[in-house]
Amino acid sequence: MPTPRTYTLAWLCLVCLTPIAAAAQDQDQDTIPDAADVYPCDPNLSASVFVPGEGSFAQIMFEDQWPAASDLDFNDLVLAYNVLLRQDALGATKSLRLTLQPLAIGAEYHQGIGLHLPVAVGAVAAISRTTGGVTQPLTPSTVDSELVVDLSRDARELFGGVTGIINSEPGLPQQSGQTMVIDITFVAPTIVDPAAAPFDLFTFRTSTRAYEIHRPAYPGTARMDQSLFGTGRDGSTPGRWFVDDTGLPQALLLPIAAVYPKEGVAISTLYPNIVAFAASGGASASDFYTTTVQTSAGFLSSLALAPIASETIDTSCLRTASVVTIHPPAGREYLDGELLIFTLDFSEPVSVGPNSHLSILIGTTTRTVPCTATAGTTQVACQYTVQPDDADTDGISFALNEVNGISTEASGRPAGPTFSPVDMRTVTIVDGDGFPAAIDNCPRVANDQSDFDSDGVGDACDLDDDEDGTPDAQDCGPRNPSVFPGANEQCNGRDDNCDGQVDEYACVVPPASVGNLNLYNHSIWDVDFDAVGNAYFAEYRSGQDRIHRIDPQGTRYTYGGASNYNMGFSAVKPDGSVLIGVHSYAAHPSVVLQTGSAMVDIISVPKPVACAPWRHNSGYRVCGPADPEWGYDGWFYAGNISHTGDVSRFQEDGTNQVVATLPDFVSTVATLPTGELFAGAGTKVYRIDRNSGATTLLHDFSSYVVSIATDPSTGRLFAETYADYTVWQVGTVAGGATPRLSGLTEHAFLTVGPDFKLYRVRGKVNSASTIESYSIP
Amino acid sequence: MKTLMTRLLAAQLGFATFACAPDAQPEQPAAQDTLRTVSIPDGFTFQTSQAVTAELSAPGIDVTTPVVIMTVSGDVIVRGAISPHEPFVTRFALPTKDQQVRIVFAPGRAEQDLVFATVHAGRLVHSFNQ
Repeated sequence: MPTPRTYTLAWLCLVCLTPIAAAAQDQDQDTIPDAADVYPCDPNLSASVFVPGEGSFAQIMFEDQWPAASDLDFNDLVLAYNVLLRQDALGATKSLRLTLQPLAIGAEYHQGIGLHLPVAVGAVAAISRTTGGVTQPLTPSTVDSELVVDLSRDARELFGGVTGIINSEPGLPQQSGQTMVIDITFVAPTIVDPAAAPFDLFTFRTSTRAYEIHRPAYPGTARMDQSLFGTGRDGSTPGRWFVDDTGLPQALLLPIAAVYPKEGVAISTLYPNIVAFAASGGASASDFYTTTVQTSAGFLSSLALAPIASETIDTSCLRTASVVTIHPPAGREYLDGELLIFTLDFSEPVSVGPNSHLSILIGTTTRTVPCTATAGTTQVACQYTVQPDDADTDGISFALNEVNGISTEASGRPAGPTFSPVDMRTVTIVDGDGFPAAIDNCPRVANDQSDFDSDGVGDACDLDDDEDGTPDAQDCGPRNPSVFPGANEQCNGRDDNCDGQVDEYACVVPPASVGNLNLYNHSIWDVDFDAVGNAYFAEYRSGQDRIHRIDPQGTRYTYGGASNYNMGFSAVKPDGSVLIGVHSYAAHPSVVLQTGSAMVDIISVPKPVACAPWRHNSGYRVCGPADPEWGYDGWFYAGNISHTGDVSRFQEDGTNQVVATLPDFVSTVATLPTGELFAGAGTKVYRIDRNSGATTLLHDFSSYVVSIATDPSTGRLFAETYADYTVWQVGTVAGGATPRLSGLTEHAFLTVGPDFKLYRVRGKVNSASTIESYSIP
Repeated sequence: MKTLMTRLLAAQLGFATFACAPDAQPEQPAAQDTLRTVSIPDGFTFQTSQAVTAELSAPGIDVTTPVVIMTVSGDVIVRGAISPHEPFVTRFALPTKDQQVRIVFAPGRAEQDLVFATVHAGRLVHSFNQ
């Protein structure tokens, strides 16, 4: 039996004659350093060759009629195959693995599968076959000088023994074939040409072993009946066997797993270009199996090829650099643009690949930390530039405790695949608002860059956004410079002074029950009310000493008007039965009583009288009797009736008594239904026991007291002072004063109305006066 | 055709066949297959793969460096190594329709280099100049 030598060994000489340079780390001492050694722990192996490629299949297709004529459908046995050759540093093969996956048996013959490998049978150390997880040794032919081994006596066993046509006749159930793996190990590295794979893979009849069919390059084995050559339609010639009398082969090899003809369809129907390929001797249409394929002529299997098992390469001998220490970035806050530098100390030198990196977790985002490409070092730096949208205020962490792309210098093994967790809770990244720190107006606080006062400091960082002098934390209007604690409460529907109330006291609310006093456009210093809904105001106009009354229906009545003694104040009994006024002109100080439409003197105040030490808005002074009030006890009370500085009481018949004497001109008097009597004299407010005349200083304002008033519903006492335009609440027992209205306009006289609001009369002599009311809670 | 009808027809026609074994069945030749009409050159064996001898060198390197040869579509064909002093020589099969392969020098390393190289008359020669 001739043995084909269609491959060349010349290429091997290049390897044989050329010494291999010794390299760095070479655990198996095969001259290929570990980092470049495909099999670093096997001295006989260092390279691998795959046919047709790693993880992919080629295909061999057989006819089964030779030497009789065939139908050229090449589906009588179809096998997908992959060959792996493991080679040493010289290119010799120490072992190989043939993976076969049966695709179709388009025949009713039972056929075996054989393999002839062009190596001496004695060169083979072991052959095994693994199917279905079961490995069993195979015994080579003893009559062949080269390795010939029957891989399967009947290929149908790979389909579970199914008879009949398998996977080539549409409409029949498809059968999944079982993968068969053949492992061949040589006694020593042996010259095997990978380009010849799958070598002489052939079929034989199960019932008649001597009937073999090979590819044309192979003449058959020692067990074949050589007398078949030249019979039937055989057209074999030396160097080209197993072809018919037209030169057509009985086995065809495709370098990919491709569609094969369905039953009874010639391969030229499926692959029309194979005709040109054949006619040209392969010079043209060499891609016939991928172009103009008529898939309708092929058997379209719905079964996927089983994946080829990956090789398990022994690396147990290799050294692996491990991470000894990780130096994380210093624990502090980082802004975007700053570097987070991680330094890794390895147990031995490592190589850093182009894509080496760590993975860190910033917030919920995994970020890649590239490592600097260095070689031969035990220390690797990996750094990450904080991005504007990064934020992690409770500390960053490693997303995965592993390094990537860093290999052990000596072995090429991945270095430090894992490492112990590192506590980086103190490495925090602030902001994360997406605005680069270089232009961020508040780089350590995530913010939208708003800057209300345009001072370059973002509101998120500005303690006083509106620059009104009140820190935002205490400012109920942090972005309104006119709103802050202590601001004037304006009538604007807003809490301007941050006291939790809106427009308190600020809005002018004339009492509807008595009409709008402002409508009368008079000079008014004093307003009094009675329980039946009348409002009284004393007009203070030159030559027109008058008191006006407005009834609940809004009708106005006028009393007096014939004198020119400055009718400054009025007082009235709650039932409206008695109306009192005072003339405060120094030339004719007196107390007057409404009698009919006139105001007549009932008390002539002795001269000389003093005047208040302060001047009112229009420059006038109050001279003589001041601010009469009904005392709820049958008496009216007023100041300076008997002499300057007294607080006296009187009745409408002119009877009068001095209740108390104060050291200054009494500007104002107030009473409460419960009997309390108060007076303002000079800068002080006094409480007066109306029975004993004892006085108690409640408060010294250091500013003249213009007017006081009591709130009969709450018993509170209010005082307005001269120089600071402020209304105070004065403690009626313990004294002291609390500002309740500040930043007011002009001086005013105070009265509490029947609606329990505090009225301020900003008196203007000879011109209209303004009346405001305030609800003081 | 391997149907029952075919077999019956063959028996009736009395074709003498060599298929006397129980599992042997004759097969009907495809009539007028165009493939049978062509003249196939003598010696042509329908090879669809070519044998390629590759010689890869990298004269400037200091240490033996891994190299991978792949098909153009990315399937690995050879894994080997180039030493500083002599070329890496290997053999592999390549579809005759393909004339190019991809070669990756120092895969996964900083100095990684990828080239497409052309096969000429079954030879592939490339030098990675460092």
